[in-house]
Amino acid sequence: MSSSSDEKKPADDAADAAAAAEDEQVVMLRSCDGEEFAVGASVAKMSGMVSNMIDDDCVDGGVQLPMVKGHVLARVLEYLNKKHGSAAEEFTNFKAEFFATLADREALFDVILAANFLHTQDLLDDACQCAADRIRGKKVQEIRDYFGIVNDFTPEEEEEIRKENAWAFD
Amino acid sequence: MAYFPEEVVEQILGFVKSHHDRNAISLVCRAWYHIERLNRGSVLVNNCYAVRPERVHSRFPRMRSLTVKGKPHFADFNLVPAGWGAMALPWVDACARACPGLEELRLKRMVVTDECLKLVAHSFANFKSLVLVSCEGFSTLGLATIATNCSVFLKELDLEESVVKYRGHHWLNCFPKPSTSLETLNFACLAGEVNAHALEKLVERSPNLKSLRLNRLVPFDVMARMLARTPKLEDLGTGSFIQGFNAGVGLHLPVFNAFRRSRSLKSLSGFWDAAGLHFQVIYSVCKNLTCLNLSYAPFIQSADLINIIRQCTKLRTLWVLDNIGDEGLKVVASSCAELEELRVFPARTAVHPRTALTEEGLVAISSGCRKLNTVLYFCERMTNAALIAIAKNCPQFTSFRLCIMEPRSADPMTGQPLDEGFGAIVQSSKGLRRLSLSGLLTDNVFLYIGMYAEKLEMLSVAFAGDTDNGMIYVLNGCKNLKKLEIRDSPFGDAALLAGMQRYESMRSLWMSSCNITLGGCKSLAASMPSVNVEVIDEGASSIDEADEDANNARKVRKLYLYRTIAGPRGDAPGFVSVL
Repeated sequence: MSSSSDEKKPADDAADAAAAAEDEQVVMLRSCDGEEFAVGASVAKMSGMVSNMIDDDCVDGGVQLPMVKGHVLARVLEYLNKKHGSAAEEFTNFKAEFFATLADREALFDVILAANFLHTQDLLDDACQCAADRIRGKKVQEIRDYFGIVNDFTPEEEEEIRKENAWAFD
Repeated sequence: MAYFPEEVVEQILGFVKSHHDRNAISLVCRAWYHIERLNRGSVLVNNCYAVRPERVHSRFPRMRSLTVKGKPHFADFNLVPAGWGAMALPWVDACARACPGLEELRLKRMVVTDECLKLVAHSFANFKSLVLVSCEGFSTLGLATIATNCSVFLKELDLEESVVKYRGHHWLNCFPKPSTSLETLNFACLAGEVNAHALEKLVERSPNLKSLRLNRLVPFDVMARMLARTPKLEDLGTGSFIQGFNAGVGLHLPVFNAFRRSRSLKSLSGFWDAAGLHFQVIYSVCKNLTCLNLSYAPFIQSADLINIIRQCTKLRTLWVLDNIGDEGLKVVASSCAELEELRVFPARTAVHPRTALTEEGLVAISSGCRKLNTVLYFCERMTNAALIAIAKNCPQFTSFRLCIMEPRSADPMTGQPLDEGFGAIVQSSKGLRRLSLSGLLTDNVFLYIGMYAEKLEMLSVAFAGDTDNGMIYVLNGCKNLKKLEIRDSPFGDAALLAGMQRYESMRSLWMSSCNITLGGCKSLAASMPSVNVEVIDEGASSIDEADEDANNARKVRKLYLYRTIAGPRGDAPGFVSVL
């Protein structure tokens, strides 16, 4: 197994342990910026995308993930490994801490996009729930700022929707 | 700048339930407006006349759950005449055409006919949930069509506080066989016999029942047998405690056991004709109860109430009659540390000499129940000192409704109005959203409300205030006010017109037996085309066009105005003039 950095990532440790223990197939995942992660097949299959490739026998040379950076992939694998190996209550505690460390919205968005790309539904659900929690109670402009979205309504359009929302649906 | 593919935005939206948040999200940008509107499953319409049903469907084509509210709140006090409106049929009709996948329909204070129920029964193949709160206009025949046709998936039939015409009890036989999906069945409001055999058979074939509220004519032995067969039951509204109770000496043990084995029972109500000794059967479940409604049990004495309440240490919600007395409330205060909501209603039948309920009871509660946030308190007297103490003990009220029975009652200790007391409440509870006033009150109380009640959304006023200023203080001050309802108070045209800038940001205004004139209402209506101004005048002689000045000077008995994007309504009866 090779890794582009000298330090072994937590994902690697867990992956090594899992793979060694079960003597299962190891899949090499390669991030878009060249970092490599060895992952046991049972964890790798938690990604719908990788799972299909394993089934189609296309993983021999490793799997290139053009959309996902190394540091993001590391976080995704941290989640998947923990989910694979933990009891329910332990995982619940882990999840709370995991998302707390993704306080930076860019970090959270990276994980959401990676989970979407990789079809890791559980992680996608949890990450989207986290995003939904973070916009609860926010005003419109605050939500725009949070997601970096530019308002493309005309003032008249915006006023009409605002009025309908307040008068009919509030 | 983040770029999320549409399906990711949809995923995030799937976790956003609150309509406030969804309304904000719909305004983010054009793409999000469309993603949100195609994703909204649960739609809430707080005023059936504020928007047309067709518009609701056109904006939210994938709606699965619709909640619509009709008559204004004062309809509960019979102030809205029969025939005023709030018919459910146009809404159900629109759903039948545009939304065959509808699963849930919740209506409040609307008129629902049997024809309407028939349409519900035949139009929605996946229908799961029908909740009719304070509705009227239907009969048990309508219930029969629902039970018969909404068969496979029906999980919830809840008729909370509705008025149902009795046309036989056949409807209980109509639920599907061999089994139903029922989780909630509430027919406590039904006046009329039910077929006990049919009811028992229904419960037997409803293995998922979690909430069952019986009416007062279900005999006790029937209830006991059913309780033994519903191990998952969390919420029970009992039937009669008299009919079927003395049916045999051996009866008591099975009943005790049935309650004792109900490990999931958390909520109890009913107790229609129960007296003290009957309550022993529920002692075993008291320690698990979070919700207890004894407001239909006028025969129970304070001492017996105390015995039960002492054991209900996990209680979060308690509804009782004022026969609990101050002593009973002191026991609540010392036993129920988790209490969040208390409602004390007036006992309508004076069976025992009235146990004293004064301001002391509420002071004790405010001091002992630190989580209390919702109060509805009917009483004979209240003092400023008590209200000030309550305000100090309890800064976290979200809803505070005080109903001193005699209008315009002064503080019995000082003879003063209760302005200072209510002023203390609004100053201390910064999160107060709902407030009902009573007692002797001058314009000062409204000054305080305008100054301090920043989060107030709903205010109910009766027999209060001296001049127009009272109403003006509230309209100018309470920026978050949504509903204002006033009766028998001396506010006139100047106050009404002062609110012109406010009515488009409020849901509605009700004024009855005040000092407003037809001329004032016409003036208001002329300047506010997007507000429906309804003058309700049953029994009044028709407007004589000839003498306009005399007409305009006529006092308006009932005014109801509300903002709307639906325009003037086409179904107003003869006694309603939409100006």
